[in-house]
Amino acid sequence: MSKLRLDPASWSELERLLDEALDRPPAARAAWLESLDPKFDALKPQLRALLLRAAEVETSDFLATLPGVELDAIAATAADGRIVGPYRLVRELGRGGMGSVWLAERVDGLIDRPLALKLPHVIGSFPGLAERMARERAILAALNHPHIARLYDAGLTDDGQPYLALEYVEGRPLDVHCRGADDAQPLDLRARLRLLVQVANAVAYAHGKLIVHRDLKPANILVNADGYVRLLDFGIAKILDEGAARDSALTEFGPRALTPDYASPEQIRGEPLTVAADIYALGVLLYELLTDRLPYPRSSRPELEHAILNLEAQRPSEAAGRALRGDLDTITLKALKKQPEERYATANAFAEDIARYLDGRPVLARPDSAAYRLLKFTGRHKVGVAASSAALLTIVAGAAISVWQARVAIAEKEHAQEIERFVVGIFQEADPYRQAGRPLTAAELLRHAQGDIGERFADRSALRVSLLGLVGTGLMNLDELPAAESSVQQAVADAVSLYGQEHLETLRARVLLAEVHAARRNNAALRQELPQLLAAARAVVAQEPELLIRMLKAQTDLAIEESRFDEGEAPAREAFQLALRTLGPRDALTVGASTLQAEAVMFSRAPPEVVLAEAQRGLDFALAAYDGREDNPRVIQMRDVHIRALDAMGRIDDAIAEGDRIIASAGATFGPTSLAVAYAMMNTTRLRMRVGDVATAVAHSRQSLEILRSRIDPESREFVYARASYALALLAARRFDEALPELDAVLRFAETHRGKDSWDAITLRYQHAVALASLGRDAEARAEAALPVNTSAEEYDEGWVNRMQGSVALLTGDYEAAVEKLRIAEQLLSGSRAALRLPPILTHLGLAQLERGDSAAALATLTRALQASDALKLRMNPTYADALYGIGRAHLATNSPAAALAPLERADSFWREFDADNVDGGPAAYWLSRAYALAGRKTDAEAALARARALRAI
Amino acid sequence: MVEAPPLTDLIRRAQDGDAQALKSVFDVTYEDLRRLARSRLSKGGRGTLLDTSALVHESYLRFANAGQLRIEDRQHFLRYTSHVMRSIVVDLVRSKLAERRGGGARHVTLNTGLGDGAPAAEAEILRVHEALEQLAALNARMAEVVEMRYFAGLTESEIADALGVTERTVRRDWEKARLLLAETLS
Repeated sequence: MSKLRLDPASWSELERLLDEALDRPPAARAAWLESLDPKFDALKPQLRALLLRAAEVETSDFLATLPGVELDAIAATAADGRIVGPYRLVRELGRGGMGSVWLAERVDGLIDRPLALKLPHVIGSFPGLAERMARERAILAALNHPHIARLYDAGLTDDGQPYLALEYVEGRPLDVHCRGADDAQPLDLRARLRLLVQVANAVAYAHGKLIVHRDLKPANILVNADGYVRLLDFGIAKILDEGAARDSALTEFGPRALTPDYASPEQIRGEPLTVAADIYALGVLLYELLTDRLPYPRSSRPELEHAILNLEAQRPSEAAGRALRGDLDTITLKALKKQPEERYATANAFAEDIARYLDGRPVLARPDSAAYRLLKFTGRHKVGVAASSAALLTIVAGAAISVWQARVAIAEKEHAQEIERFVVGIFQEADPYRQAGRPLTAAELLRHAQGDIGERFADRSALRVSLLGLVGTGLMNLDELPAAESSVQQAVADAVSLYGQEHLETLRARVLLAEVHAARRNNAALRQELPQLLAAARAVVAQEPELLIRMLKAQTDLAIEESRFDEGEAPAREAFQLALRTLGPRDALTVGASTLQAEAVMFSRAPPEVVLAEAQRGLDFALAAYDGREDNPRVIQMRDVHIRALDAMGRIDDAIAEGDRIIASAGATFGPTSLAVAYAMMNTTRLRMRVGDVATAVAHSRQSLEILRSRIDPESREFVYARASYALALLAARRFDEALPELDAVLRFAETHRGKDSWDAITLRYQHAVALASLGRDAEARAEAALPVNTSAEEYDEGWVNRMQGSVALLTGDYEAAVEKLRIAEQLLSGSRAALRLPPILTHLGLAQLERGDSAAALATLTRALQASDALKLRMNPTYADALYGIGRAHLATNSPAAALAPLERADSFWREFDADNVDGGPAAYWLSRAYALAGRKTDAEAALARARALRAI
Repeated sequence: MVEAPPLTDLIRRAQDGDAQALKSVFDVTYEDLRRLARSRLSKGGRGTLLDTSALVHESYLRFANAGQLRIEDRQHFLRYTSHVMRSIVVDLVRSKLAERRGGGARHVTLNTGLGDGAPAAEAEILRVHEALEQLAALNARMAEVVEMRYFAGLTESEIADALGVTERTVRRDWEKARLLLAETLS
């Protein structure tokens, strides 16, 4: 499907012209096309191509009939026993416009009971359907309620057939059951209301988990022989809805055709749905159970939609033509309010009012002003617009707050813990790479909430602890670390004064605070807290294993952060095993622990094969947990580890290719200026430098730094790493004046945080000296390079130090010392990185030999430098150009001007393309002009000389 | 566990919401349409024993006569059945391909692997099906004309009737759609 590159915008113009052309006889079309107004020139090529097609298509029977397909192999109907994904179809249970439903069983016996397998018709392709289904599956799997049919699984087969595996429920639809089908007596009013209370309670439970049904109707509510209801298809409407909604008119007949009878006004208007839509549907169900009729009579769809949007329903008591107590009218009409915020704030409140009616207590149906205000505060209507995943998350977050707050207003005591769990779940899934600049971001919502908690819950300390903790968690996951810390610190203080030091609630808050410390890289605070927290978390591991898992992860983080690399692996392994056992493989915490284990192994000095195998395991694990979704932040994070492992194995091309994939998928998912993109670019920058792709290295490292600058703490390790990458890329690109201030900053950081004698500080200091020397600040450069290296750092590499000292010597004109140091550097080369380090050493050695007047030796050395680069398949880069320029000069010095031309031309043209204004290109231009002059090419010589002058080479 | 019938109002509920009647509309037409799709696809029977017009007309009348559809529902009915036909045809072709791969074969995606494995007929059908998504973005009616003509096999006058446009418009839409599809599929 690559050929049709027409966008709807230009199509209408094109179509009009095409109509005009097709009105003419074929022979006249070419002339017509040529006579077209020049303003249509842009459309002409497409028009011409299409008219060319017309000539062949009009005389052929192209698409005249459906082509024949040999169908003998396919049974006349979808056969029993067919395999769909991991399921075997047993028999068809039903079939509708939406698709078919089968009784099915797991092929692998993993689920040992009959299932209802839904196979929706999907017409057309829905980009992202698999991801959406996986996401929904993860959410819906959290629903575990006796009145809700379980969703076991949802996915796509290899053929693209979506499937949903649900608990198989026997029963009759609610309306049929109430009418009393199969000779049974119709149910009386009280029995009907009791059923509806069951339904509303189940809906309330799901709302507590932020899951909106969206398609509540009698067919989705089954009543079994014992009189218990079971809700089907919770949240499933959403899975198929999202993709369909943005597609064409074709989907008008597609799988999403909702039953408008139970649709709320906002649903008709196509607005984002909240729990209020389900409450409306509950109102319709109540109306139907009371009157055996719907609030608005069935008519054509436009008429019905008009009625739902604009008309007031007849009071149930009038519609039923029999006496109903006024309470029931009030309850029903409140649920059916046009404005979502005027309805019951929660399904619980609705159920409660019906229960009150049944008990003869007065109902409470009147606007709940507090909840109303809270809902307004979250800006429920301002939030949702686009259906992009980022916007969607914001909507979910918004809904989280509104549901949570509405519930707080109603049931403040017992549900706080539950509320916390679900909102925290939302934000834990909310990845840390969130994008700013949306109408109302989750972080903004949380900061609002944070400001509000103090006063609103001033007299309810217990609740305030939970809420501060949960808002702190949300802020931390959104990388709003200072705000998170103040929230959590307050939570700890409150918890201590309310419950005392030993209470579980206090421990929860303190664990959270430790995590904030870890996120802020506040190592000292974390180191101090950790032993006590680990012990306390161990004591309650049976009760709440998450706490221990989180503290073990913090222990690993701290060990790596403090370079105690041997100590990171054991706690990471314990955390992963514990998480796997208690939380299962799909829990975000488990995946995080798995990735951390891979990272710890990488830092542990294990052999590269072991590191790579472990990274592969971690990657497989993350991909399995998120159904192969490359855009998942946890998958992206694990890929970073995998890339580093590939690199450690020397598979640099594979590592770069994988980095490019991440940059692309992160950009598509989170936006081109997201943190995910920044980190992916940062992590591949050094790899690119090593293959000589300096231009991309500079571009990517600058881009990642720009993104990070406004988003993360400039003192954080990540930011400094990004800055160092950028500085080194600038050095490689010979942009020394830009590199120097970056190097200054990074070097200062390394000296302060790692120590003056740390390997990081040492290496950066030499790079800094090279920059100084290149900028002509020879004295400073020499002084810096001559600083005694007094280190116990394990990474210490004498060859490398000699190499850098040699380079500084070359740049400051001390050619004897340069040759000596660089010779040592070459001799000391060993290990896997030797080949990579050879080209710059040989290039600088050759140039030093050249300057010393040893042209023959220089020619040999520089030729070896080129061979070494070519062996690595390095891209053309400044160092390579230097070697070419040196070879040219050596040829000139040995009186072979003809041989000098080619290498000098290559060097010069590289510079002109790579960075035409860079003074480092000057020498090549100058010596090229000499070679041209010797060859008698006067014009060329003058041009090259002018260039050299402009670059201040002479 | 029986899902409610297709509550599109292409087929309006005639009277006061008799869901069972609607269910049977779909059930019966679906089986008919499935047979028809098989017939249109299979080389031997194509265009001889069954044709769409006759069949759709017949099943339409069955419901109209039973008082379950109004006479003006015929347009909607044709559009609806065409759409279902497309879905069935594509389903059949996909299961055909799946079978050829031995059902469980992995790593074959219909979007990208078409040129390689699938025989020409299946490839054409699926690619037309996929291209229609794009066509619909340009001109929804044009895509619907292709659906009704190519997938359902309706005549130009029936299509014109169903869409409430002239036959000339249908022909022109078809002509343009073919150009675009030829460009796309070549």
